[in-house]
Amino acid sequence: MKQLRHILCVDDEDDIQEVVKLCLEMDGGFAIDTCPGGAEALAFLDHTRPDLILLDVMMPGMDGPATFAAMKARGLDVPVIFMTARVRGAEVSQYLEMGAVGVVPKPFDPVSLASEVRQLWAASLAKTPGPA
Amino acid sequence: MSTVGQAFDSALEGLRTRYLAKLAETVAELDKLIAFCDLDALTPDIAAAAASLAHKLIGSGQTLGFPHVSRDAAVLETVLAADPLQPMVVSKAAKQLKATCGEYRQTGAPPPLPPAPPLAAITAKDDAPEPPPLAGPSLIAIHADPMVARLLDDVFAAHAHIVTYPSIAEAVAPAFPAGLLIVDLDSPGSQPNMLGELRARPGLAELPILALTGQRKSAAVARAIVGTQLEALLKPVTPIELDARANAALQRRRLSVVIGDDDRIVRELLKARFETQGYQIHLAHDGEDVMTLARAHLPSIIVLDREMPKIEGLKVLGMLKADPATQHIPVIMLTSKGQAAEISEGRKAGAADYIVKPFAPDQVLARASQILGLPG
Repeated sequence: MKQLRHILCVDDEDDIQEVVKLCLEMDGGFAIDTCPGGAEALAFLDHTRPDLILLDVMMPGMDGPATFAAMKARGLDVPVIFMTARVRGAEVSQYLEMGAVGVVPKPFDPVSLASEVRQLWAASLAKTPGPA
Repeated sequence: MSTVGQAFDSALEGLRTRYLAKLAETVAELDKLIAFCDLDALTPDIAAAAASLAHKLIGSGQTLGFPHVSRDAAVLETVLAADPLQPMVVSKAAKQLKATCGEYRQTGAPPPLPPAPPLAAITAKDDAPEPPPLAGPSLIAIHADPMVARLLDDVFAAHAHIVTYPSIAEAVAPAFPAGLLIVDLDSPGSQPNMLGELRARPGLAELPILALTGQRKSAAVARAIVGTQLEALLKPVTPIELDARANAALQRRRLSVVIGDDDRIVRELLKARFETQGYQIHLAHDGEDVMTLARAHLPSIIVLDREMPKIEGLKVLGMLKADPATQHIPVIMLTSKGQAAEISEGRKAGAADYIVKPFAPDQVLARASQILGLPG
């Protein structure tokens, strides 16, 4: 099974970036990079390819879904998990239909973020069998 | 595994502490929103900026360990999405969120259950309970309007002593502590742009202030009151409304004390006594701690041991009096040396009182109450 090692977190809020970095690095043992917005994320993805992207929905300028669409237009098929403070059922299915592998609602529990991300990652691999 | 757990916990705690400190900026933004709402000057731009702030807080509050911030921010976001916008409803939601942030900053915990509903001083029926007394025997009023005089009389004369000044320039803190200040921004000599100066006057920095004005939709007035930490009421103001707002302003003003002594037993004894009077306690075991806590919490009063490690008592006293933020806070010095020369030195440096050890904790509390003008 493909290993989850390197995660990119895209969020315009410093506090969230720091908590996510803390949880996923210290608790999850992953390597984390952060970007404050969609444009920066796309620039990052020009030279580096993480295993997974945590993508905030509400961001000024280019929001989460717009960033995801731009990624797809460039043929970047890195798995994406959306983070959002609005989690009504209709919106969640909308994100999944776009091709996201999951949604992490905000606020989230720092203690369980790492395992939640792992679970969503594992579920996504189960759906799309990739190289061994 | 357990050391990773501990490191994680303490790092998370560090992030929480920083977030708590940043809530001060949030409160400043909320003050702005409240000012514009209360003066009926809320514009779509301001509402949009506030909605964006609320949305961020929903996501970060509970994540960082402050669930009530998320909860109250969600309410604010919802009311900001209403069409048409209702400024009074927005103001109420913003005040609630502000109170929650304030409470977390002071105590690290969510606010207690909301207080009992306010009492109507004018239309009180026979079975209505007694109105709570103002915390402090007097109310300062600044106005030159007989209508305002009548309103204040109606609401407060029965249970408070009103001291009136015709203009901001002439208003000074009375010799006895006041509980509340009400200023009429429509009176000549009380222009909104003088409010900053009023706040900066010695003795008036900590008072709850209610500002009355008839100028609806005035962005200029709204901007003037932002940052001066007061509440605005739009005329016409009914007696019931004024009474309710005054009560709410007073209830928010909680007593707090910084107790600085390197002797743990002294700290615990004093903490126990002050707690019985409802004070919120901050304990310090050296001079540096006292300065940090005093600047962070701006307590109602400081009890300070003369002999302390890091920075000794008299020096701390000097620093407190030299800092404009803390100079108005009365300081009670504790000392094991009772010489007259020592005591007068401390008084000259600005100590409000001197208590010689060994002391009875009741004595310290009684002196504090006296200094703060409280009953008992």
